[in-house]
Amino acid sequence: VIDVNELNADDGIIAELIPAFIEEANELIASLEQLLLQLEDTPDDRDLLDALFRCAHTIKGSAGVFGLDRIVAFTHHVETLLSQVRDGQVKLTPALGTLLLQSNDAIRSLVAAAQGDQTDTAEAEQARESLVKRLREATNLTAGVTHSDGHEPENVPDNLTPEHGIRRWHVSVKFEADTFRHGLDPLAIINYLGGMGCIPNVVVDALAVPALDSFDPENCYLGVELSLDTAASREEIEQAFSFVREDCTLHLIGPGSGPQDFVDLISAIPDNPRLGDILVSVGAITRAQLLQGLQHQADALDTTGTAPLLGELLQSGTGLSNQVVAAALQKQQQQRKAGGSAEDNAFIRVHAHRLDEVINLLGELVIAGAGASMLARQTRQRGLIEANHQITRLIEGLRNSALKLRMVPIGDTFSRFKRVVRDTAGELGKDVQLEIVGGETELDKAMVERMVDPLMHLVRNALDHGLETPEQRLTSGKAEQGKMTLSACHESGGILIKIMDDGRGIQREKVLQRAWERGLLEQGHVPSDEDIDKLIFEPGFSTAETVTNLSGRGVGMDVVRSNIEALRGTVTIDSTPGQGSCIEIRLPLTLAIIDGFLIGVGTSKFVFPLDAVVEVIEGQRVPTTQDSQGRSCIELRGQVLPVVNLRQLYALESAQPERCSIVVIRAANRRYGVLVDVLLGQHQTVIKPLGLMLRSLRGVSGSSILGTGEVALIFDANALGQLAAKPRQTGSAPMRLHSDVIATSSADITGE
Amino acid sequence: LPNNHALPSELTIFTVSEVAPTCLTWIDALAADPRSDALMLDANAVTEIDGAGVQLLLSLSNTLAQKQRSLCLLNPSQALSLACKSLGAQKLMDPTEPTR
Repeated sequence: VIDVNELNADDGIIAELIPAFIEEANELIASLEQLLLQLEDTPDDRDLLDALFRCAHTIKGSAGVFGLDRIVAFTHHVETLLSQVRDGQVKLTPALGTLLLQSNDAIRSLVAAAQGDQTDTAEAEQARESLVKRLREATNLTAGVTHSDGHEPENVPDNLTPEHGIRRWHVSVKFEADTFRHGLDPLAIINYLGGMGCIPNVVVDALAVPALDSFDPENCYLGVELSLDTAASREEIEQAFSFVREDCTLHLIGPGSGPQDFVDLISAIPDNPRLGDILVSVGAITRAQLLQGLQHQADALDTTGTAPLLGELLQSGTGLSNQVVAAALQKQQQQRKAGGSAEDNAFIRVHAHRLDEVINLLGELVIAGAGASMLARQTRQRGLIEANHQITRLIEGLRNSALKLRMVPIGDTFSRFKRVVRDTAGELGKDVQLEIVGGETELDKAMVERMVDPLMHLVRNALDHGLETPEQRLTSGKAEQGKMTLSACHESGGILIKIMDDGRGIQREKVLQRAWERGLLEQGHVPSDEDIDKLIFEPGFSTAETVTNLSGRGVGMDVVRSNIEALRGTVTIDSTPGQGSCIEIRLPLTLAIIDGFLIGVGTSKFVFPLDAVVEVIEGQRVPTTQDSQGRSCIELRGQVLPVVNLRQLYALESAQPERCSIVVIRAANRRYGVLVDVLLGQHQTVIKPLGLMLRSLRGVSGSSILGTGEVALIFDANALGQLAAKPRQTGSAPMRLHSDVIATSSADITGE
Repeated sequence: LPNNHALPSELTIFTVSEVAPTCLTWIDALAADPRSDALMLDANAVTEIDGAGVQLLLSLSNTLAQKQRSLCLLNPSQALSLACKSLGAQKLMDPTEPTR
C-alpha cells in the first residue's frame, strides 16, 4: 500500500522539476537536430554519432523519471535505431536522416504536450505510429547483420586479413557498480569493440554477479575477458571505452605478449580469484602456462619482495614508452573535450530577470558614478579625483562583464536555419546549400531572440522568391545547387547580419507592377532601382504569384522591417537581377549601455555611439560651402564630406560660435561630419528609452542622464547619416528641439 | 511444463527492477516443488535486452545454482542469444555446454 501523502509529495516535487526537464529536453532536441544536420556532411563521424545517441538516451531516461511514458515509448525506438547507427550496423543515409529529423520533431511536440502547450491529437498519434513503423523497419533491416557471426573466429571479414595488420589483443574489463546508472551498457561497448574487428572468444565473470537475495538489478557487476582480433591501435581500442573510462577498470594486453603478461594481470587484480580460470576458458593462456607463470611470480616475489606494477603491465608487450602513453592520454582527453558538445560545458542557469536587475542597477551606478566624479572634480582635491577615476575604471570593467553575461553567439540561431533551408528547399523542389559565416559573433540574448522571426521570414522569402529551381538555374547558366549565406560580423559598434543568395534577384518589373496595382505608387511612376527594391518592405506587398504556405503566413516584409527597427536596427536590400540579393540588417550590440562620445551644441548635450566616431577635427570655421543640392560640406583630405548642422537641424536657439569642431561619423558605409560647439569626450552612456513626445524625432535613438542630472540625446548614427545625405529642403521647417523641451521633458524621457 | 513462466519482451535497465522480484517468486514456487530441479522459462518473447538484462539472468542462474537447481531458457529469442553470446554468457543458453 502506498502512502497517499507521500505520493502527493512526490507529485509536487515532480511538478516542480518538470520545467527543468522540459528545458533540458528542448536543448537536447535542438542538439539532436544539429548533430543530424552535421552528420549529413560527415556521416561517419564517430564523436557525433556518440553524441547523437546520448541525446536520445538522456531524453528517454529523464522522461522516464517523470513518468512521461509517451515520450519514453517513442524515444525508445529512436534510441534503438541510433544505437545501431552508432555501432555501424545501420548506415546513416540521407533518407534515414530525414526519418530521424521527423522523429525528433515528434519528440519535440511530445515534450511540448508534456508542458501543456499543446494537446496530443489523434493525428499526432497516428503520425507517431507511422514513424515508429518506419523506425522499426530501419532497425529490423539489420537484425541479421549484427555481430553474431563476427564472433566466430573463422569468419574474419575479408578486409581484415593478417596482411592488414590484424593482431590479437586481450581485453580485461571490469565495470563499476554505477555503469548502468550512468546510462552505459557493457553489452553495447562489447558490440562496439566487435565492430572494430572480431571477437573470437569472450567470457563473462558469471560468478561475480551475486545471487538475487543480495542483488541490486541496477548495479553493474559485470566483468568480461575477451580476445579481440583487430587492426586497430591500442589507442583506438581504449577509445571504445572512453565513455566508461570512469566506470570501469580496463586492462589491455597487447599482441605478442606471453603467458607472463596474463600472470601479471592476475596479480594486478588480486580481488578476482576466478580470473585465472576465466583467462584459461577464454583461451588467452593454457592452464599449464598459468600454473608455471604463477610459480615464477611467487619465486620472484620471494626474492625481490615486489610484484610488477599495474602501469608496467599496461605497457607490456608493446614497447611503448611512458612518454608515448602520456601523450596518447593527453590527446584522448583533448578529443573528449572537443567532442563532448552540450554536456561537457558547465553552465550556471540564471533567470533572465536577475541578469536584467544587475544590468539596471549597473546603469544607475554608471550615472551615480558620473555624478560623483563631477563633484570630485569640483572639489579640486587630487586624492578624491584619483579615487573617483579608479572607481570609474572599475565600473567600466563591471559594465563590460555584466553586458557580456547577456551575450550569446548568434551561430546557434543561424544553425536553426539549416533545418529550415533543408526542409523548405526540399518542399519547393530546390537544391540549396546554406553557408554560415561568423556564427561566433555575439549579440544580446534578447536581441537574438527577437531576431529569429524576422530572420526566418527573410530566409524563407529568399528560398521561395529568390532562388530558382535546379532546371531554371541550369538554363540561366548557373550551378545547379543554389547558395545561400548567413553571415554576421561586427561593424561600428553594432552587428551586421547579411542574408545573401545567388538567385534571380528582385524582379523589379513585377515589383513595380504590383506597387501600381496596390496603389503604393502612382500609376506609371518609375522610381530609381534602389527605391523599387525598398518597396518590398512596404505594408501590404507580396510578389508571389501563388501564395505558398511558406511566405503566405500573413507576415509581410513590412513586419520584418518594423521588428528590426523596434530593436534600433535597420534593414536594407541590395539586388542585382539574375545574380542574387543581399539583405543587410544592422543592429546595435546591446539595448542597455554603450560607450558614447559626448558633445555639446549651445546648452544641449548629445551622445554619439563611440564606435561610430571615426575622427574629430577641432577648431574649424563654420563651413559655408554647399554642394549642388544645398547640403553643407567640407573638404577632408581631398574628399567631399557632407556636414550636418545640428543647430539648423533641430533649431537650437543659441548663437553659433566662431570656431567649432566637426565629428566625423561612419555609418552604413557612409561618412559624414557633424558640426558641434564643444567636445566633452568619452562617456559611458546608459540608454534610456525616449518618451512618447520625442519618439518621432529623426536621427535620435534614445536618451541618457548625465552625472549633472542633465539629459543628453543619443544619436542614431545611421538615421542621422540619412538626414545628412538628404538634399536640404528649403521652406520646410526644421525640427523643433528647444533646449527647454529637453529640460522640461526629462521625466517623460526617462519615464520616471 | 511443471513451471511454465515466461520472460518479458524487454529485459533492460528500465525493466530489471520490476522483473527481479518476479524472479524471486519463481524461485520460491520452484523451492516448494521438490520434484523439479530446473526453472523453465520461456525466453522466446525477449526482443530487447541489454547488459543489465543478461546480468539479471546470471544472478538468477547463480541463485538457482546455490539451491542446487538450474535455469533453463526455452526457445531463446535471437536477441537473447546474441546478447548472451556477445557478453560471453553462452552458458546461460545451455548450461551443459562448456564455455570453451
